[in-house]
Amino acid sequence: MNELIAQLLWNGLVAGSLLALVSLGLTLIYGVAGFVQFAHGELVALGAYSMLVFHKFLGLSFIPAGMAAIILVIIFGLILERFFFRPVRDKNPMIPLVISIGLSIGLQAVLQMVFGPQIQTISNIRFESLSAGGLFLATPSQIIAVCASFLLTGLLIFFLHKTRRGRSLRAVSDNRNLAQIFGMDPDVAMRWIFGLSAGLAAVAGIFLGFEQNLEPLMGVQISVTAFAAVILGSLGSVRGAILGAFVIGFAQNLLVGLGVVPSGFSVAIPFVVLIIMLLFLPSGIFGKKFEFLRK
Amino acid sequence: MKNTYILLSALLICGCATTPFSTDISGSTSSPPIILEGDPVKIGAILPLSGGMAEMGIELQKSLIAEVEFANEQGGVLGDRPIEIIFEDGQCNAGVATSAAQKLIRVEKVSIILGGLCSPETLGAAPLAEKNKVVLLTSVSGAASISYAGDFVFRNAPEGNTNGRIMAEYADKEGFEKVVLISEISDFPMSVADTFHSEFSGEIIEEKFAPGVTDFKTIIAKVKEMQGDALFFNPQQNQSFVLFMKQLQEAQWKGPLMFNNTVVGNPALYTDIAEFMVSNKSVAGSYDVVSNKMQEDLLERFEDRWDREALFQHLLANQHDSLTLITQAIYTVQDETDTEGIRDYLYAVRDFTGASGTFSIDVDGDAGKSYELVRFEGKKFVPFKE
Repeated sequence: MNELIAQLLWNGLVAGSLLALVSLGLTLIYGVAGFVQFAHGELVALGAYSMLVFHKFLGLSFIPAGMAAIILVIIFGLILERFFFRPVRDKNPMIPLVISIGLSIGLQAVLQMVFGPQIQTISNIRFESLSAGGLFLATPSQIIAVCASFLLTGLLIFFLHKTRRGRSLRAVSDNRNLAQIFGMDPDVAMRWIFGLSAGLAAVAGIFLGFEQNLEPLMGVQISVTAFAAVILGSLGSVRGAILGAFVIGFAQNLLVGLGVVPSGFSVAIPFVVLIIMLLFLPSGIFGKKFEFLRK
Repeated sequence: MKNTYILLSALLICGCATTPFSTDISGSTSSPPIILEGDPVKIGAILPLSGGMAEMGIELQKSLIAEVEFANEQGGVLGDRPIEIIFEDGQCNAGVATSAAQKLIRVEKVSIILGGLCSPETLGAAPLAEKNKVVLLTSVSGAASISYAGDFVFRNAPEGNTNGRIMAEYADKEGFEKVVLISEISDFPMSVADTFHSEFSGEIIEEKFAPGVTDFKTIIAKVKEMQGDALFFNPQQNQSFVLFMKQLQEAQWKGPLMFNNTVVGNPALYTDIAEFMVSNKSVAGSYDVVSNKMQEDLLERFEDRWDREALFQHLLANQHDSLTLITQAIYTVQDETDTEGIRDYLYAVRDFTGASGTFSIDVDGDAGKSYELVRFEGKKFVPFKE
């Protein structure tokens, strides 16, 4: 039983770590741009497929391939911001939301056309799982994913709170008009936020690719779950997104693993949590109001 | 300037969102240019052309294109009329398949539909087919309820419950006392699971997962703790199989493995797990493996048309026979819109010999085919030898 609980806790940590990277991107965009970016999951998939291209097809080793994939997705995120979202920045928030839904469907189709519908693996090398004192098994990619997630989350919090650029992003997020009066450029803030969130999505995609292989719709489930995590923590809150991701990661693994809920119900857990939150704590754990629902 | 950007964005999105699903591979398409002069005989086809079963769906689509081209080169049907297949994407989903059937029947005015591939597709299209007296003939779907889906609904494939039976017989024969059964929540795996429950004499510990689940680590941790004598993985989608096996291997599972027939037929699925499958004595219930001249010709035509060997060869053989039966029925009644005549022709089929072997169609519209046990050896499933 101890082994089972240890394994479930580790699984929850891995799931929460990957989810946190995706949730952070979603919450950052909402915080600064004021809408939910539904194509964020496709940036996760693009990160994984870019890794596939650079590592498997072009023969780069893991680290250079990963760096190239992250840079490519960041560039793609910036292109999306420039040509799809910046032109509608001051419009009704429904417009960028609808654009992001269209982009999501379009990008899924493009991935399927380019790479085919079949499941692909980033690497044919099989890494043996490592045993942690006989308590649980962890693959090397899971260990690296958890470490990378903690490192990036820490760096992001440091960046947002301790650097001039980070503070200006938070200022734009709090009150764009006021920030503009004080000389902060909202266009620059948008670029930074889309670049950062695309980079985080790419990292999540690369690890997700190692963990669960690649297929064109791979970004859908994790982005929907991340959306639940973001609302759980409260939209626009960085700390909330991280907490929400780990709550959902652990809840999915422990509730199913310990037989509290049937395994067929696991995909519904984030949404049950979400409904409970909306009913009893609608502003999320970290308390921002749901402006987007009221508009 | 801003308005131009908005317009450009909207156009690009519309282009991206609609174009890919209207192409040759993933959407509503017609077969290649026709040389015959008569009006085409339109036949609809519902297959999963996107999503987790797309690889299998696209393989069947490619085979159907090759077969129709061949049939048209041979003179088509009813004198100088070419066959035209209109493909619709069912996405292995009942709701999507209902819309696909709606489009085929109302817009394309077809009287015959081949498909679906997944049971939810066939069951989703069946009520509309029945209501509009359109013949629906599936070459793959195994859910038990298809037998009772209507008078115009036919199946040229084994029923899923016989898959459950053959696996239960195997488990009993091997002396397993406790089997962990993990099923995808979908019509076909549920049919297999129901029969396995009723036929297996030992204890069954059952776990289920929703379609689209990609993280099986928790279920695997749980079933390892249960210490069954064997694990029977019963998926609907190939994607579920690949992900589950990857994570099972990482969890260092040791013990006999059993599968339903959906995992048989595509060597690419086993690339990274072949050794693991062999070391854990993997077996599956598969279609009767028949090899004959007709099947060889069919596979050769596929290879000539697409420059590679066909996957899921047993399914292509079934589909080939379905198309042959339909063209024979049209030839017999001399009118593709006489669906009652085609229906009666199909019910009267006895000892038909095709690429998939010899079969008859029973009162439920089933070809009464059966499964046989196959075991994993080397890099693929092969017929089981005692």
